[in-house]
Formats: sequence, C-alpha cells, structure tokens
Amino acid sequence: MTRKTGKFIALFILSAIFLNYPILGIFSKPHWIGGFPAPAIYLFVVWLLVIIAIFFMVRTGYPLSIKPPKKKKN
Amino acid sequence: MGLSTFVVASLVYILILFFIAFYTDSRTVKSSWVNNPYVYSLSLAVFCTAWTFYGSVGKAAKSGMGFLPIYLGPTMLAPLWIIIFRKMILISKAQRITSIADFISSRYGKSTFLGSLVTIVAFLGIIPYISLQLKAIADSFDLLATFSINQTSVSNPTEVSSVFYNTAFYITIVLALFTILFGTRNVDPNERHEGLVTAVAFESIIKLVAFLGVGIFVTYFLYDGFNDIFSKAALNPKTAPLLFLPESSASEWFWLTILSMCAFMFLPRQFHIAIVENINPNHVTKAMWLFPLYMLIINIFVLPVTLAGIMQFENMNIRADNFVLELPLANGQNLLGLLVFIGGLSAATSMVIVETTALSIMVSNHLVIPFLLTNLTKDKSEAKDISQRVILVRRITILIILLIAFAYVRTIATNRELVSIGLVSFAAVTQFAPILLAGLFWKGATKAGAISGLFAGFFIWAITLTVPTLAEYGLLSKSIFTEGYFGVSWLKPYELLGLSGFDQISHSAFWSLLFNTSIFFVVSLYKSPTPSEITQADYFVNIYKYMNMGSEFEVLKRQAKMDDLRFLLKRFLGEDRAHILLRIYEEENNINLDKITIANADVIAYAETQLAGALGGSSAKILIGSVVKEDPISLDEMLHVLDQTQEIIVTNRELERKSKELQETTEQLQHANEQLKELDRLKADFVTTVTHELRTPMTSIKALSKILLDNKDLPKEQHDEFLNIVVLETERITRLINQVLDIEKLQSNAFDWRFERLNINRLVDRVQKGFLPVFEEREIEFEMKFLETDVTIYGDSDRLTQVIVNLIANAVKFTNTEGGYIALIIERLNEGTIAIKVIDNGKGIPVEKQSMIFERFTQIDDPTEGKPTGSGLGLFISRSIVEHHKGKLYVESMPDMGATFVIELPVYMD
Repeated sequence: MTRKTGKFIALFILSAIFLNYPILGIFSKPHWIGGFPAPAIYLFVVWLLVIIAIFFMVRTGYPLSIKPPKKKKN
Repeated sequence: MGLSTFVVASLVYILILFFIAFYTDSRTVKSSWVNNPYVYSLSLAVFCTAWTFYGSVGKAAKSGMGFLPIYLGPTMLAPLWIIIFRKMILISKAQRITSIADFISSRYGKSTFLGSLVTIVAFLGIIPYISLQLKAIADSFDLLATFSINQTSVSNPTEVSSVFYNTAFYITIVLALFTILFGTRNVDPNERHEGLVTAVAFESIIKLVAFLGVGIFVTYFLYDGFNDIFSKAALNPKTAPLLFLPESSASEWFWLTILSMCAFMFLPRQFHIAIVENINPNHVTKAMWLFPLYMLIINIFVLPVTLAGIMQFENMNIRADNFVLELPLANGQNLLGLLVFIGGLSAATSMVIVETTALSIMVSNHLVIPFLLTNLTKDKSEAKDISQRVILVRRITILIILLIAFAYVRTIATNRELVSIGLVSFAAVTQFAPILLAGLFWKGATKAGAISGLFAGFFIWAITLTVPTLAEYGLLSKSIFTEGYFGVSWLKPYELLGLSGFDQISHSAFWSLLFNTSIFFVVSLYKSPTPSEITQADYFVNIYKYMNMGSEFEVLKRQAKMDDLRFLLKRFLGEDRAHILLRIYEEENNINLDKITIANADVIAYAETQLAGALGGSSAKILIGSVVKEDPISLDEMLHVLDQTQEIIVTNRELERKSKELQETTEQLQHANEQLKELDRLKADFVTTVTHELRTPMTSIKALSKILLDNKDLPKEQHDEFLNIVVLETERITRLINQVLDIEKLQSNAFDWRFERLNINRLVDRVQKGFLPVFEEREIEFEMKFLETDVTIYGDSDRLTQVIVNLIANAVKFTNTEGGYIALIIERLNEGTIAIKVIDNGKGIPVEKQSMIFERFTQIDDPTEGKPTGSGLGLFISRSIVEHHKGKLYVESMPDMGATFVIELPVYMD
C-alpha cells in the first residue's frame, strides 16, 4: 500500500466516523448555529470538507499512470 | 396551462434526448465529446433518480435529515474510488466486461451459473426500483391532471388515475423505444453507448437546474431565505422535530450509508456508467470530488422545501412526495411547475434508460444466450449472422422489463413511498458486495463460496423484505407477521431469530449480509477452486501484474482452427465487424492470419475477449469452448504446474547456493593458479640453474679432453692432472644429477623411504668416523659429543646419513683454513626431541641469508673468494629429508662467529 493509498483509506474511515452515529447523536438536542439547525450545518460542512479534501488530494498528483492494457507487439 | 401542455412538453423533452443521443452517435469524431471527466461525473449522477427528485422530500417529511445517508454513503466511499474503481475498470477493459453479472461471473472462473444467478438477483431486485420511476412519472401526470381540471390543489387524485396511468404507459413505451434505439444499437465488443451517456449527462443537468429552481423559489420567494423558513418551522409542532436528528435512528442511519455505498457501486446502471461506459480511468479522479459536490448541491434545498411544503399544505391531504411539484403549482408558478415536471421526468427517464440497458445486457448475455448456445447446432451452413438475434433478445428484454415494471406499479406499488421501494433494491444489490469486493482483493474467494453466499443473502433478503410485501397485499396470509413463517415464532419476517428493535431495511441488511458474508468465506475456505477459477482469480487480484502482458500468462494452452474462430466471430459479431477486428489483430501483432490454419492461444484469447465484449464472459467461454481443443486440464495438472513453480523456486535457491560455492571455488582456483605460476617460474629457474651448473663442468671436461686428444705428447704429469680434473668434474656432474633426481623424487613423493628404529649415537658415530681422515688432512680440530644414554629415533638411515654428511662437508668447506674447528654434538632438548648440532668456526652466515640457504640453488657468494663449489641443492634436500622425519633443520649464525646447523628429530616412543 502506498502512502497516498493510505491517505485515501484514512479519509474514508474519518468521513465514515464523522458522518455517522454516535457523533451525530450530539445533535439530537435542539441547537442553532447562525440561524440554522445545528445538524444540517454540521452535516453539510463535513460533507463539503470531505469534497475539498478529495479535491486537494487528487490535485496534488495521484500517481495514476494507467495505460490501457496493451497487447504485446512482436 | 392545460394538461396537454405537459404532455407535449414531455414528448418534446424526450425528442430532445433523442436528438442529443442521435447527434452524439452520428458524430464521426466522438472521442473529444464524451471523453472528458465532466460528462463522466454528470453521467454518474444517474444515481439521483426520481427518488432523489421527489422522494427525498417525502423521506425528509418523515424523518428530517434522515434522507441524507443515501448521499452520504457514496460521499464517504468517494476516497476509495481510486482504489476500487480503478481496479474494476482496468479488469473490465482487459476482459471486455459488459455488466456486473459478467464481472462477478468472470471473477469466478467465467461461471455461467453465477452469471445467471447475479442476473436473476439483479432483475428481481431492480424491477421495483424501475417501477418506482414509472410511478413517479405517472404520479406527476396524475397530479397535473387533477390540477388542470380544478385549477386548484386537489385532495383525492385517484379518480382520474386510470386515464393518466395510460399516459404513463405511453411514456413507458416511448422510453422503451429510446432505450432500444440507443442502448442496443449493435452488439458492440466495447459495449459503449456514447449517445446514451451524453443524453444521461444532459438529463443530470436538467434535474439539477429544476430542483435548484424550485428550491430557490421556495426559499427566497415564498419565504425570506433559509433563516425565515427554519425559524418558522421551529415554531410549528409538525416541523420542529424534523430540524434535529432523532436519537434513536443510529442503526438506520448506519445501514442506509452502507446500503447506499453498495448501491452506488453495484446497481447495474451504476456499474454500467462507472465501469463499462468509462472511457478513461483517469476520469475517476475528477469524478471523486465532482460527483459528491453534485449530490451536495442537489440536496441543499431538500429540507427547506420539505418544511415549506408541510407548513403550506398543513391541513390538506397531500403526499410529501408531491411537494416539489405541488409548491410551484399551488403558488401559480406554472412555468416553474413545468420545469420541475421536466426535471422529475429527466431523473426518472435517465434511470430507466440506463438500468434497462444494463439489465437487458445481463439478461441476454447470462440467461438467454447461454441457453441458446446449448441448443445451437454447429452446422456451418447456417452461417446467418447471430448478432441480430442477440440484439433482438435485448430489445425484447427491454420491453419485457418495462412492462413488468409497469404492471408492478399498477398492482403493488401504488401506495408505497418512493424511498421504501428503492431501498428494497439497494438491499438486493448489496448482496453483491462481499463476493465482488473480496473477489477483487482476495484470491482465495471461490465460485462455490460466491454462489452459496449470494444464495444465502438473496434468500434472507427475499424473506425479510419482498415476501412480506406479498403478504401486505393479501397474496399471503398476514399471520406471518405475528406468528412467523410456518407458524415458527423465530421466523417472523421483521424479527428474524427474535431480533427486534430494527427498522425493516436495517434488519434485512444486517441478517442478509451476515449470512451472505460468513457462508461465502466459510465455503471459500473449505472448497478448493478449479483451475480456470484460479487463473481468473489471479488475474483479477493481480491485474497490475498482467497489464502489459498478452496471453502468455495463460495456463491453458489452447488450439483451434482459424476457420472455426473466424466463423464464430462472423456469426456473433457480424461479417464486417469480425473482419475489422481480425485486421486490427493482424496490424497489432504483425502477422497474416490467412496463412494460419491453427490459431494459437493468443489469437483465441483475442477472439474470446471480443466475443465477451458482445455476449459476456461466460457465453464467450462456451462459444470458444465449442471450437477449441483444450487439453482438459485437471486439478492434478494444475497442482503440477504449481508444484513446478515451487520446484523452480527451490532450484533457484539451490542455484544461488551453487553459484556462491562456485565463486569460492573460483577464488581458490585462482589462488592455486597463482601458486602454480610461481611453481612454474621456480621450475624454469631450476632448469636454467641446473643447465648452468651442468654446463660449467661439461665445459671444462670438454676443453680438457680436447687438449688431451690434440696434444698426445703432453707431459705425463700434466696429462694425469688433466685426467684427474676430468674425473672430478664427472663426479661433480654425477653428484648434481643424483641431487636433481633426489629432488624430483622428493617432490613427487617417489623416494623409496626405509623407515626403521635407529640408535642415534651409533648413526652419528658411523658418519663422523668417515670424516676423521678429512679432518686430519685439513688440520681441523674436531670435537664429538654423544648422548649419555642411547636414544632411538625412527627414520631412514641412509637419508639421515646423507643429511649429516652434507652438513659436515659444508662445515669442512666453510670452516677457517687456518685453525679450523668443527664440533658434532648430540643433545636431548626435551623428552621427545633430540638435536644434532654441526658447529664450525667459519665466517658465518648473515642473518638475512639464513633462510635463503635452504632454497634451491642458493649459494652464498663471497666477493673475495668467488663462487663456492657445490650445486646449492644439498641443504634443500637435507631440509626436505629432515622435514619428512617430522623434524626441523635450521641454522644459527652470526657473521665471523661461525655457524651452527641444527637437526631436530623426534624421539621414537613405543
């Protein structure tokens, strides 16, 4: 497993934890953040953070040296 | 705005789709159009169906944020696309995978049975999902119809439904037509439909724009922004609970994220778009963040629209699924209503089109064709192009799928929520997750394991989710809910094995995945795979290893007649396409297939891959199998191959060891060689010296003899003197030759040693007696000292005598001419050693030359006295003899203080 692959797996695990219970259980009580219900703000912000994280991770050049499978030439 | 406007609009919209798809397909340069990550990402948004468009609001009206896990699942998964999708795409491109059924069947040894099983599970699981889309279309027509009749919101839409379900029916037919036209253009080995993908991407834009449109309208025109809606909703007892997360929904939330992750990967349409229609694996990296972003945007307004809908229609009987369409219409925004209607239509149609295309490929390749092939005569006169038949099968399949789905809407699904129907399908395709994911990364996953795991999961899915539905509609006794299946209390469909406290979906997902996964792993571990399974398993798991190889990795070496292969390709791909494909192969491999009668494994693999692209892996395997002579490779042979590999590894290690040994031996040899070279040099020196030594006396003998011969009248005295010299020189030569022979014998161990017990005193005594006249003649003072007690040594008497004689003769030679002194002393050095010392009072031997004198031909030159007489071999021979007696011979000397030669010999012990 390369370092980069490890980072993607780590992001997967982190996002799965932060977008699930029991962390979400924190928001069962009515809280408001800037006029928005807290769970909505929290979920959308984490969601956006995941997207931004992926954006930067793939932008800094994931070694995607995929060539379509080549037939050997004689 | 009348209903007819909407009917016309939807027809126009579908016509636009036709145009886009047709235009894309007819472009000659296609690559630049579809071949970009944005179209790929948008086409992935086929994930967002009518369920998203209408159903999210329906779900949110019940559980607030509870609609979100469906989109959070794929978002969490997004970082892993690069690992999972990339691998799946590479495998699929290399093996020309046509569908998820093909993928799973190919992974497990191209199993026809497994392919069929996956197809059946997908078919049964997806039908409700497709009907959900048709229902959404029908419902929206229904709504519009009642609306246009009353021009107000209407409470009971069912009165007019029959008419407008007919409209929905016609829409269904038009959709079938579209799918048939663009999803089954031809039997393409690439199974790519660029027109269809472009149309789907276009639809993704439309549904996004439509939903954002209604969202913005509701949030900013009906209300005064988000804050306004939320603050008003907080005051309303119906909406207030929706703003926050309920404490109890943890398991439902979790299972929904799991199900949606699996659905995103394994729904036939998702697999089709993400894997089969993928043009460039690099597009995945951009889609990894673009697609989650799309989902985020389309979901922003779900909660506001829901809250607004509930508050607006508080006392009316309006289903939350309809809020999206109802809100603009009720507020007189007919144009926006039209846009929303089109958006819903696009969400539904894109799903239906891709899903039915993918399903039709699966059904034709894994259910119909394998069945056809077993009945197919190999009669070559029936050379009719069979690809037409394949296309026909697919078209009929599409029609049948849509009609079944339509029937399902009319009979069963009329009153269920969109979301709950969709989740049943999600749970069905989730059953593919263990066997597919484990198959990608674990070589030990076997066909038997996959089949039993999938069976188990499918069975649990059926009894916990679908059979209960039949009961709800009265097709089965409702007693199963209270008493369990067959009256067994722990077989209640929603409380299997007594497990309660779960919602239906979580309950079913948990049990089905548990049984599926554990049975799959256990059977995989206990049932060994067949050879073809091992081959495919290794290919899937280690795809990167195989990427740049041809068919050389194939274990099965197959042969077929080239004519047979050509015939197969023509029959199933059509004459022209077969011709083109073979030409491509010829180009790539630089050979002329016309000249070949027997095709090798490489050509066969190529043909199989092309056929697989059209008919799926398992069908292609059957077809190729019908013309290929394949030495049926048994498990034993396979194991043999593996054994050979093992042997090779062992042999390699052995070789490594051997080569190390060889290296050592080489070093030793090199060393020996250097020694030999040194010896050779010594030998050459030796020969030179011997020759020189021989020549000197020979020269004088020759000269003197000639004088004697020429001068017969030489005086008698001189005559005698000359003859005397000749005799002396001859003796010298004889001695030299004897010594050389001695050396030769010593070196080749050919000396005839005669070892015996000897009294050392007696031996030395005998020698010294022989020299007494010499000492007298030369006036040398001689001293002799024997051991007091007799000591026995073990040795060769003659040889030891020779040594002592040699040493004494040397002493005589080098001792002072005036007042010469020689001593011969025998000493006992210790218990086991005696020493014989020969002492003279000559000029001694310089320390630096003391070791040299024992070498061959070393004589100590003395500038004042010239070259001494003697061969220079005596001491060398003496030392060799003493060493042969396990003794030592050495000299102790100081210049001008005489020299002491010491012979040390071991004492003989009994």
